[in-house]
Order: sequence, then structure tokens, then C-alpha cells
Amino acid sequence: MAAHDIDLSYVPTWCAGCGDYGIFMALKKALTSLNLDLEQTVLATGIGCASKIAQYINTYRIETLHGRSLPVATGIKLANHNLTVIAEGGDGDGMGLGMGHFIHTARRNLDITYFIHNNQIYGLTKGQSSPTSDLGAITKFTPAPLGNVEHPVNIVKMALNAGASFVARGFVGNSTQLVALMAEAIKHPGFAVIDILQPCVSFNHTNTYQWYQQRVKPIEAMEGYDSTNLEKALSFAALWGDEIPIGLYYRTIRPTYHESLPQISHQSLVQQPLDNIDITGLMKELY
Amino acid sequence: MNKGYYTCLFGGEAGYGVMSAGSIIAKGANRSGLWSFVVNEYPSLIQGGLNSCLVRISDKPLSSYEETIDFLGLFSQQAFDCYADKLSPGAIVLYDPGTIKLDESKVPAGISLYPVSLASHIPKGGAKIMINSAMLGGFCALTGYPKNTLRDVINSEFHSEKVRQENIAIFEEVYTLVLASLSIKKDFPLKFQLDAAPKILINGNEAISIAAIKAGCKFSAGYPMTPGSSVLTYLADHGPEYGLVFKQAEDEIAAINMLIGASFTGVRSIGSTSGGGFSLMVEALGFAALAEVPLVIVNAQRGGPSTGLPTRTAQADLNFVVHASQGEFPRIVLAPGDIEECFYETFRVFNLVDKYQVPCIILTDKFLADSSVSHPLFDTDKLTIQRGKLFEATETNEQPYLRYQNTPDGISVRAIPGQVGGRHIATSYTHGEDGFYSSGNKEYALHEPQVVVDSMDKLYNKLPSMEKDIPGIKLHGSPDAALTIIAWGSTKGAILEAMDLAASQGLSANFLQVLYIAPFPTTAIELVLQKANKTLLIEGNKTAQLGGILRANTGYKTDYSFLKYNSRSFMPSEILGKIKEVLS
Repeated sequence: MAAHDIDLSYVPTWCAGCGDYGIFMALKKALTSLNLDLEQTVLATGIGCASKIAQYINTYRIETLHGRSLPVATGIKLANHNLTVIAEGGDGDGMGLGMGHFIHTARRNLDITYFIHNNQIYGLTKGQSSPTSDLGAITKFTPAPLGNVEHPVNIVKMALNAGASFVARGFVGNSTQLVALMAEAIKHPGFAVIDILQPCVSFNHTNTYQWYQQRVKPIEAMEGYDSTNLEKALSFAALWGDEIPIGLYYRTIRPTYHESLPQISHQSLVQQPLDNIDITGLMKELY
Repeated sequence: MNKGYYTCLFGGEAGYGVMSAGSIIAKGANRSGLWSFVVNEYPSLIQGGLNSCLVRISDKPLSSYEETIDFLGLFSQQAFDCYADKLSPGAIVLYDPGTIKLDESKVPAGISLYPVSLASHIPKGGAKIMINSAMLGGFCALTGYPKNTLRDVINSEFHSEKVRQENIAIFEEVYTLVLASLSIKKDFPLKFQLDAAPKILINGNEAISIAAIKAGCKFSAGYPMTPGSSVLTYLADHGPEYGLVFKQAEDEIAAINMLIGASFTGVRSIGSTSGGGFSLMVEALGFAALAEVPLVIVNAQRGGPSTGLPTRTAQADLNFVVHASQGEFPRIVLAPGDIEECFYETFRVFNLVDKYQVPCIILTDKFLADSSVSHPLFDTDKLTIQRGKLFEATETNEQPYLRYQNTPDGISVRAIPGQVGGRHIATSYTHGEDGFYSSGNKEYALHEPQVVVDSMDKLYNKLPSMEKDIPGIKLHGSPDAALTIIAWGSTKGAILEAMDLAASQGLSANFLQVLYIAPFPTTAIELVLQKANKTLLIEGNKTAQLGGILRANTGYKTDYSFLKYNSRSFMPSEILGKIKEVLS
């Protein structure tokens, strides 16, 4: 019997007004709308405010180390590719320590969905600049007057260049669109990334709800939109300022990593029997 | 040739097939009722330098080697300069005078030099590596090693028919030519049997890899690092036919986290690296321990610190792996001493990590990982898979499932993703029985100190049964010997041979082998030490690391120590010398 009881009794500890609440609600709605069997669903998160989402949602979950959700998710997917595997974490976790894993998971096209809560700040460590912090951002590690002097990572652009086969940007203030994007991303066979814009009400007083509200614009209404065209997607991805496109940037279908492995074409690794494995042939090779 | 051993050494630049010449001779002996021990030394480069391959052959099982060379096959001048002083009385030296000029004044008396124009037998445009077939032809003629045996091995080494025929032709040509130049036909000092029982010629990394496959390991991930990566190469090559997936990772951090993901999902997993890669894995080692995810990682030690000596041996990572990662947690550290232990103990630790839900480090070194030894086929009849307390879904689970439930033995029932009724959170945070942690959560914060104590005690409650279950030590030799040698890992073979040599000279020594360094087998060691007379610690490091661990756990300080940290392994003669010194 498929299980659909998604709620747990634990009370989230995010700050009042945190964007994580909205993403949490959207994820639950997306999972429910897909009618997924939650016993067959695994959520792998990193460490940080965003990653705490694993504590509150009733799937199988693994709260990994800071920055390491994607390699753990990779191991899970390769061990049992019948599972729905979702990785999730913040911009610091994913674009800082996790950046190398992000690039490689994308180019491998593992069938994993990756939700990045992007508030352009480190929240749980109380307000340091993140790889996505805007130029000039004043944070604990980039104090005034200079502020942040590093060019920020544009997650959408990075995902497109690295070869992610589904790339979207959502905004927690647009819940209807976010739920739909999340559901599409989970359904997508391949590495699906959503850069989810959210404010940090405690430590980022620049990129607030209002700041985003004034800038986000549904991408599908923009001139020249074509989600099958990588070049167009990249040109929309270059927009970050007065206009920030949200929606599906790009989607393509190419073989996923596990589909390339003949040894798991009939059964997943976890289904394979362990008893009485005959190693005579391996020994004979060494005569 | 002395005391039933024959030792040949081939030396030359990388790219001349030095290793394969040695391996072919070892295989021929191995297939003919004799026993071989093959030690490769090579620098970290692809062409040039000095590679050497030493093959020791005997009519009895071998556990070690000596650099007393009976036949020296030279592919370069440097090889002569390096090994001339290691020639045995009556040794044979074969070389090509076209490329090598021997200073005869440096040649010890009683050594026979055979200059043979080896390179001239390579057909025009032929690969320079074919010179090793010429060398082998000369070797057979000069030593009396049965030519047909060697030809059969050469035949089975090549996949391309053309290459095979070219090499056989060179081999036969040089054999005939050199034989004709000899006044007396040589007899090889060891007897070859044509119908001998089959044996395998296997190195430590191969033994570990095959054991992992036998243990039902289905996933491996890693990043290349000498000398650990040949486990990964083996699994990448042979794994798929056993349903195993090998995933090359972007770094060792990704590798160990992939292994954790697969193991969390119920699949037995192994990683392999050397000290530098293991350094990168350390944070995740603690994650596996706290999340109670079983894990097996091979650290094949090389010289350190840092990049150190990529292709040379050392035993200097012991303290590091025993203590690696922040906080405190139980782990298994296995230090196999030979091929037998690489195979059977690797199989055992796959069962142990499942049973105790802990990480295990298999600590080998370049010498053990890379040296090939004759070994009878492994007997696998008694090997059974034991997966420990696994969750079984029932329709009538009355209690909610608790992944980290406190139990008297500290081991909780483990559910894997996809199982009905087993949903839970596994986590790198300190957690309660349900896996939940949030220091800001009101109900939780109230109980936090108690939850922390319970969670730490739970991990350590596993220790008493682990200690009973794990064969931590082996005592070799008579319990009441005059000297007890204490050592771990790949020094085992040289020590055992040195003990035999000592016994033949009336000196009695036994050997306390610490096979598992963690959990440290304190009780078993104390029992042995109570009866010990003099004690001698032998380790391949500068600071007597096992000695320190021994002292920390038992208060015992060994009487003598013999430490070697010149990047080469121990030889029995060195250890015999030390035994004599200590017992004199």
C-alpha cells in the first residue's frame, strides 16, 4: 500500500516569516499532487537552515554533511534507481562546498531533483556572504564600506552550462508556479535543478520579499521564450537585475546516468542476491 | 641460490616491460608446483626512471623476500649501479652491451657476466618493449629455467596473435643463441612439476577486491590514488559481471559520500584510496559513524606526509586512521598482514560493519597492496553473508519505527529506503532514537543533555560485543619464547621468516600480530604480554605508532623497537639481525 501521510509532528524552527516555510509547503503540495509513494521517496539534504526541511517531512530522509547532499543522493540513486531521489539545501551549501558536486552531478545527468533555497546569505551561521550574494552586499564577512567584491554565482546559468537537463527558477512568493515547477522537476527523468529565490528575514535586509516581488517576471511571457533552446535559456539566465525571469528555463531529454549501466538494467543493485556468489572465475584468471 | 630460494631481478627504465618480465617468470613457477613472491619498485612516472621487479622462487610457500640476487636482468645502466652490490656469489648478469657499459671493477668476484645483443633481435619498427622477450629467452638459457614453461606463459599473456608470434620468435631466437654459446647446459636449482595443483598469483589489492565481490559488495566509488586505486580498477573491470557498479567520483569527498548514500540504501559498498584521499574522506567517516551507516574503506598507505612518496611503502597512517574525524565513535580498523588476511578478513568485515553499523578502515600499504604472492585457491565453503538487524516490514507494527532505538547491545534495527513502514531520518547531527535533532525545538531542548548522553552511550554499547566478535590478535610461535615481537600489517611475512631463521640458530621468538587495531584488543594483548619475556616492537614508521597505542591502552612499554621508515619494506635478514642483537 502506497503511503501518502506526508506530515510529521515536529515543529520547524525557522524564523517567523522565513522563506523556508513557503518552500516546505510547496514541496509537500508538489509531492502530494504527484501522488508519490512516500516510502519510495528519499530526500537528501545538506546542512543549513534550508536543509532542516528533512526533519519535517515524512519520506525517507538523510541529512548529510554541509555541501554533500548530491554525492549522497547519487549513491542512493545508483543503489536503487526505482526510488524518487530529491536533494535539497541552501545556496551556501550547494554553491560553496557543494559546487564541485553540482557541476559533476549535472554533467552525469543523474535522475535526481535538486531544490536550492537561494537567499543569498548564510543564515544558520548568522549572516555571512554566500556565493550568490550580490556585488556590494554588506554581510558579516564582507563588512561596510567595501561589501562583497566577488562576482556572484548565477545558479541557473551554472546549471545550464554544466549540463543539467531541467533548469528552472522559482520564487517562494509565487507558490502556484513553484509547486508546479517542483512537480515537473521531480517527474523529469534526469538532473533537474530549481533555483528557488527566498528572502532571509533575519540576515539579508536587501533581497526581501518586496525586492524580489518587484523584479520577478514569468519567463514564459517574455519575448523569445523557448524552453527547448539552450542558447535562449542562457540569454534569459543572463538577466539578473531589474528583471529576474522565473519559470522553466530549459528542458531536454537525454539518457540518465543509471540507464547507461547494463548491470542494473534488469534489477537495481539493492535487489541483487548476495549469497553464494561464485568467484572461481576470478581466481582462475590469476593462475 | 641459497636455502631453497632463487631470486631474479629485472631493472630498467619504465616502458621496457620490466614488471611483465618478472611476472611471467613468477607465473611459470607458480603453475609448476613452485611458489613465487614478486616485489615491484617504481617511481611515480610513466617513462624513464628505474623500475625493478624482484621475483623470489621457492619450493615452499613464501611470505617474504630478500635482495640477494641470483640472476640480474639489466635493461639500463642505472639498474646495474643500483643492484650490483646485491648479487649473490655465483650470480648471473645478463645485459645488452650496446646500451650498457659495465665497469668490471665494480663486479664482485665470482659473478658471471653475459653481454648479449638483445635489442638486435627486435624486428625493424618493432616496439622496444619486446626486448623483454629477448631477455626472457636469455634468462632461460642461462639459468636452466624450463623454456617451454615460460613460452606457455608468454603465449597466454598476449591477446593479439601477431604480437604473440613476434614475441615468441624473439624469445626462441635468443634462447637458442645463448644456449649455443654455453659449454655446459644449466639446470635450474628448483624442480618444476608439470602436473602441479593450480595456485593463484595474487596481490593484496586483488585479494581485497575479490573478497568484496564474494561478500556481495555491489557498489564502489573512488578517485585514483596510488597505491589504493588498483582495487577500484579491479572492481571497475570485473565488477559489472557480478552486478557491481563502480562510480568514479570528482574527488574522495564525493566518493565516500556516494558510498554512504548507497549503503544507507542497503547496498554493500567499498572505497579505496591512500592517505591523501583518506584525509579528504575524514569528515564523512564521522558522518557514517553517527548515522550508523556501514562502510568499508581501504587505505593503502604510501610514504607521507602530504603527496609524500606516491609509489613507496610506509606504515605511518595508523594513528591517523584510528583517530580520524572529530568527536568520538567506535570504528573497526583492520590491518591485514598477508594475502590470506586480505581475503578472509575483508569478507569478515563486510559482515561486521553490517552487524554493528559502523565504518571500517582496511589499513594496508604499498608493499602488501602491490606485491604478488603464490597462494592456493581460496576456500569459500564456510563464508556466509550476515547482514545484521535488518527491518522487516509487517502489517502489524504496533510501535512507530525508531531507527536509532536504544537497545542493550547498542544496535538498532536498520530499515532501508523503499521498505514499507521504515521511513525515518538518518542524520549527521547528534540525535535521539527517532533521528530527530533540533537545538531550537522547545520539547527537544529540554532533554538535550540526556539525549546526547544516550546517543553517545548507544554507540559505545556496541563495543563489548564487537571486542568478543573480532579476532583482534594472532599469536604465532611458542607462547613461552624468549622474545615476543609485536607488529601489525605487512611486516608479518618478514617476521615469520625471520622467526624460522632464528629458530634454526637456536633463538626462540614468537610474534604477537595485532590484526585489528580498533577496537583495540586490550584484554587479549594483556594476556600475551603477561607471559612475555623480552618484547620487540617492529613498525614501518618513525614514531612507533602501535607502540604508543599499546602503551595508551595497556600501560605497557616494549623493551626494544625496530623502526624502518626509508620507504622500503622489511626483509627477514634485517629482523633476524635485530633478534640476535636483542637476545645476545
